[in-house]
Amino acid sequence: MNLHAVIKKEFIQIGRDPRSLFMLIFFPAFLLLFFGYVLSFDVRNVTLGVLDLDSTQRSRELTLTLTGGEYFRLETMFTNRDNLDAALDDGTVMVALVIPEGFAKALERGETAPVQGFIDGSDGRKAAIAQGYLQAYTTAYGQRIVADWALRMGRKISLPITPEGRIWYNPELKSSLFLIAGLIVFILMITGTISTALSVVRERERGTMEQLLVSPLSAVTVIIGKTLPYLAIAGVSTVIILLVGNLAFDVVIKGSMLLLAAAALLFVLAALGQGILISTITSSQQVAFFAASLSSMLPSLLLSGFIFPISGMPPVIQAVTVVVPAKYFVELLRGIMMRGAGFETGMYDLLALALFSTFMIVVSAVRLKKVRLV
Amino acid sequence: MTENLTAIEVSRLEKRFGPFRAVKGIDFTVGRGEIYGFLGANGAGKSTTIKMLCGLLEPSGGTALVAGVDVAKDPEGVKRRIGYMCQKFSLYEDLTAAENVDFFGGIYGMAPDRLKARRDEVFALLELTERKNTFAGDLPRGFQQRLALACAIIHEPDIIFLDEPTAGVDPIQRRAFWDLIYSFSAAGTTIFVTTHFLDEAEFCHRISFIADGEIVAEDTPAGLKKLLSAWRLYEVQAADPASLLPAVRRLPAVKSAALFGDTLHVMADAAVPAEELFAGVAGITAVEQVTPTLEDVFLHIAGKTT
Repeated sequence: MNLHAVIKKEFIQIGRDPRSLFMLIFFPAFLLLFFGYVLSFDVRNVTLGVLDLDSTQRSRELTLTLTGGEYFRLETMFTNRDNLDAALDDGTVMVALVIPEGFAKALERGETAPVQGFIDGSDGRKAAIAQGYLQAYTTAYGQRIVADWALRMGRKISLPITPEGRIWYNPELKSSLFLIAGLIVFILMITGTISTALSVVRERERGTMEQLLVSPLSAVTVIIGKTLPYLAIAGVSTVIILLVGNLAFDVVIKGSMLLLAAAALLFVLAALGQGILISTITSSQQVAFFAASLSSMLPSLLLSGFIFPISGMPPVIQAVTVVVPAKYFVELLRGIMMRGAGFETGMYDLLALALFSTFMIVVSAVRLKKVRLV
Repeated sequence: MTENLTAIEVSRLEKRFGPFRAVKGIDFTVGRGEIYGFLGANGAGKSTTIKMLCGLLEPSGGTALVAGVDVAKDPEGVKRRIGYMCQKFSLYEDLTAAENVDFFGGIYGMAPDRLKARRDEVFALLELTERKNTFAGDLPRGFQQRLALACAIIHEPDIIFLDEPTAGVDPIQRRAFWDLIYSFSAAGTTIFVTTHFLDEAEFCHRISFIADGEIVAEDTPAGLKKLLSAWRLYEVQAADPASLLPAVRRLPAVKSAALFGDTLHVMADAAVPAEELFAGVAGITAVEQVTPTLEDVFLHIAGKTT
């Protein structure tokens, strides 16, 4: 079998370059560790400063309520308005709260007691989350006061509507699990694409491609023979990256293991196919490397839903994401890891990955036939 | 059965790239076991012709039968029957000599035991046995050349295409290489070779010159030299040959004159005796009539076509 000859040759060549092999196998897991610890969207320990102009039992109670959990950390108590402004300016605190004089008295009288909050909005996303926390805590405190008051009046009151939301799948609202899934996809996309991007163009540079083209080897055989060895290696590195995800970031596979295997296989094949295609259209190894890095990194970072939700993108960009394989694997992997998804829910994404990888292999083979001989 | 006698049969073969006709309907035939030299300047249509014959490039017109197979209809069939070696000695430098040959044998679908026997045979013939475990990249140039040849003949092709096979190889290795080529030819393998070493072209049984997409001459080396029978070639010695060139060229009986090493090669009308020929030119120390080489023929033909 001549496919066998190509595969054997590729394996020998890969084995002759142990440094690259080591990189291909362990680099993804290393990247996961590195980025996984750096990257976190969870907002905890928001620095808080309080200017308590009321200095009453009530005002101190409000401060204590806010800082009781892990969301706010009391950084400082201000003595006047000037050092509140200074602390916001130099970033000592992110949130500053002003409890005005007469806060307790107003509550006593059953009036609304306004408190003023200042939030450093330079990190808009974090500011929005901090504002949410602030609102939630003050509302909860207000409700407690109303309930206390009603109790003293000898009555029990209930609020007309209380939303009782339960967060499914990720009850602690930890963003890390969500991010780790995206991160694994991101890393596998880049390493997969780069690993094959040099394979054809290297042979063209050395002149051996010409020798293959005058042989009876078909273009498809060349492409498949070059892809399969890297698929095996990428399979090993995928298992390693998932194990590292499990050990370091508590990633557990709740869903179908078989779906995970199928999805990972098709996705890695899509990434390798993209690399091969780049290899057949570029003219030097440097160009191929850059093209592979950019074409794998940017879409899987920006258009995969890894960091930026696709539903929030303009319709044109959303349409573009249809051809980003990382998008489908991000959806699949999050589904499998967080919702325990199985084949019923993952079928569409799986099909998209299969289409994408087939397309890449076929176009590469067609391109290879048309490769200009020097 | 013409197949047994004819290895390559080309008729009105043409290749157009847009409006440009790279090969303008050429005809030639190469017999079985023949060493056929294909000569021409860069851009003359030489590479385009070889690529069509190897099934790499589809002809725009005409036919080419290679080992009895039409290159336009069954390029894959052609590829199975030919061996191809190019001047870059396309080898995998990170594979050993044996691994290179095994790979090329493998892609031609040779069974492992047959491949091994054939590899031992080829390595013995090309004196590569001792180097079979050396990385191709570490081999000296002459050995790389022979390894590239080994890769091209491992599957026992009917026809071997050699594209500038001796580029960058020293004269002794070149000579040894040609001895091998002769032995293949004697065994019935057809050799189609391009070279720009004109002294080397003399080793071919037959030669054709391609210029501007057309074959301008085709014959045996001796036959080609007969093209010059109406002319005599003189080697002229002088203290400063270059300075005599304009004066020599102005002589009525002189057809062409060119610097040749530290002498002049002058082609002149055979009817005019040598002593009369150079009478009017001062500074000549010696004149000797020499046998024309293929290079002289080539210059003559090139001078006619341009």
